[in-house]
Parts: sequence; structure tokens; C-alpha cells
Amino acid sequence: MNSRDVIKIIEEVLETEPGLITERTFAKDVENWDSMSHLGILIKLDKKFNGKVAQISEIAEADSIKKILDSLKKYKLISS
Amino acid sequence: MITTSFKDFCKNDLGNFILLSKKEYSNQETTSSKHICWKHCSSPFGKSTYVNIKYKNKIIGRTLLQPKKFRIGLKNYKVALVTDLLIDPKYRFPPTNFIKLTKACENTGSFDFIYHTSNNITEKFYKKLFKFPQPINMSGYGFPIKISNFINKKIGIKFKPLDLMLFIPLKINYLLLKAISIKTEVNIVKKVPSNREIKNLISQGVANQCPFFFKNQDILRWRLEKAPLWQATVYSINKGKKNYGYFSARIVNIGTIKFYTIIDFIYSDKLTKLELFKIKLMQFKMAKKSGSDALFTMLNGKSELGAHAIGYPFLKIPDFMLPHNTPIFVRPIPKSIPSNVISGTHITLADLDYF
Repeated sequence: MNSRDVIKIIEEVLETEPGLITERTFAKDVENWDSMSHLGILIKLDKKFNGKVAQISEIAEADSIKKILDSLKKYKLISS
Repeated sequence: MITTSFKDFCKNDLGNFILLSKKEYSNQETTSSKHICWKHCSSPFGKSTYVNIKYKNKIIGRTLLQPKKFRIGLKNYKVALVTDLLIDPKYRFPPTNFIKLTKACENTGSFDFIYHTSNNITEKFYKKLFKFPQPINMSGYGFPIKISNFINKKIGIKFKPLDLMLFIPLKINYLLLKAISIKTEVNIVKKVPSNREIKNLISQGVANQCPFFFKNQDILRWRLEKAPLWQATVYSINKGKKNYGYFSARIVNIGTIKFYTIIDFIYSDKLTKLELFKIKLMQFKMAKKSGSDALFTMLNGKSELGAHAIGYPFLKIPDFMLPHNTPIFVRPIPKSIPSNVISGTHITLADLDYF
């Protein structure tokens, strides 16, 4: 699993067109990215990473793709 | 910095409670001070615990833990129902405040466990993200009285002759009721049972059958008769002068449809199947007399006590026909209680926040 795979999961949850979300995207830039869809992202990532994501508060607090990816890297869930 | 605090809810908290509620709702139950005081300050079990999160001294999220007594056999547990959870719309993203508040409910140190329901949005978060145990699932049971109103709701055309489809079953119900009445003495009286009667019901039957939410006369009066918005009537079930249980009913309007709803009950295990059948037929008759469109109840089908209340005319309503699922989350399940025991809990609508 790498950054691109994570972005793909987020795109699916947010129902955006492929390629619209990049590592530089902020939540405020995406219309569908609200608290409910953010919880949806957490559920999807948590399932993908076998229940490890729900414990990481930084991901719940993240307001950008970069912060989500940095947290996943920090906890060694994706490669740097 | 965001802080979490716990306190007993009191009348001074009403202002903040209503202020936050008005940011989301306009309905009476979340903005009527009389209703909120009844629900959170006047319960015989004590005041609700006000869990709130603050930012710069302003409440930006809250939930209330309404205390209850839960009993398994002769052992009592102090438990709470999670109610009225709300986050200020300005502080919903990222969802850390929702997560913080949801998790904080477990940390008051005052309860053996807490339990709560969900709506169609929060259900998946509770199940898949928080992974809360869900030992109980409420199911709906009922029987239509006027089909035309249901069809009208679906397609917008009211065709009264459709109601004649139920003419024969209704007639059969009345004939059955008359026939059974010759054979059984069981009767229904509009009266809250006395403490002695409820104690007998519990000690001689309920306590041996399944876990349940403790009730006495004060609790029934508070929850059912004195509710400012949602008053219900309590009926005692008697044979001669002896009490054999009670049930409580109220008419619930959902959109244009009137449901005669059984919101609470305890039936003695000494009632025969025929007597239980008579009670259900009498409830059906009461529903018809009230002008309702259907007879309805919700309960845990896995509970031994719940099983007394189902069967014709309380037929299982498929889950897809209900507005949403009603799983009951219990957290944390105390290690001393096997989760399969909790699954058999007798739980009624009166034990929940609805109705």
C-alpha cells in the first residue's frame, strides 16, 4: 500500500473524479469533504489497515491529504 | 484548547442546552424547557450527567447520560442511556469533537455501563469505527388497521375501500376475543400497578427470566404518565383482584399515520398462552377504538419476556419497512456479564429515548 492507493480510497469515499485529489489537497477544497465523509474515510482506512487507523487521533484531526499520509507513514502503515 | 467536563444537569444548564439545540433542530423535544427538565432533572433515578466539550469557555458539543437501574437476577447495575448528543455545526470538522464526546461517555466513572441507539448515519460509525458491542437489536411488530392510509403515504392516493380488505380479520378478532373472554378472567384496568404488585411481578417472574431495566410505580408515573410531551396511559392486567402485569400505550403520529404503540410492558409468566392472546386482542381492539391506523410495538425478540408480547396480532415487521435499524450498543459490557446474557435483555420503547 502506498500514498496513491490511499488517495484512491479517499477519492472513492468522497466520490470525486479520479485525479482530482492530490497530496496537496486540503479538505476545504473538496465540496464533499465534511465531518461525515471524514468519518467514512476513517472507516475505509481502518478496514484496509486491519483496525489500526481508528486508534490514530492525528488522522481524525487531519484536514489535508498530506496530514493523513504523514500520519500513516509515521505509524509505518504505508511506505515513505 | 478543547476541554471535556462532566456534571449533574440542572435547570441553570437549560439555556446552553437549548441554545445549542436550536442550531440544529426546531422540534419541540429538543427545545422545550419543560420536556428537557422532565427528562434530565426529574427522573426518580436522579439527574442526568451533562457531558460537554468546551472551546474558549463556550459549549461546542454535549450529550446527556440518563441514569437507569439494570437488573440481572438479584444484582443491580447502575447504567445510563446516552441521549441528546449534538456538536455545534461550526465545530464538526474535523470530526474529532464527535469522537472525543462519544468516547467520553464511558469515562464518567459513575456507571457500570452505558447503552445507546443510533440513527442511520451514526450506526455505521458506532459499528465500524468505534466497534461498539451491539448485543441487542430491537424489532418492530404490529398489524395494520387502515391500509388506505399506508398506501396514501406511499403513492399519495387515498382509496378507502382498501380498508375493507381487513374487514374479515377484524371481525374474526372480535369474535375470538368474545370466545376467549368466556374462558378467561383476565382483564385490563386503567391503573398504574402498586409498588407491591410490581415487586411481586419482578421477584416471582421477571428476575428469573432475563435482564431488565428496573421499574417501580414512581418510575412508571414519571416516564409514562408525567411526560410533558409524550404522555402514555398505563393499564394493569388483573385476574380477579390479583395483578398479572401491566402495559402502557400511547398514540404516536408519524407523518399522517397514527400508531397505537405499546411502549412498555411486563407480563407475568403465570399468564397462560390463551390469556396472553386475549391481552393482545384487547390491545388491538383499543387501537381500533382510538382511530389508529396500526397497532405497533418494538422490543427485543430474543428476550423471554418480549416473547410473551409477540404473536398475532403483533406480527414481525420487516426491517426494511422501518425508518432505520435499532441496534442497541452496550459499552463496555462488564466482564462479569456474558454478552449472550445481555442479548436476552427485556427492553421496551420506554427504556429508550424514543416516544
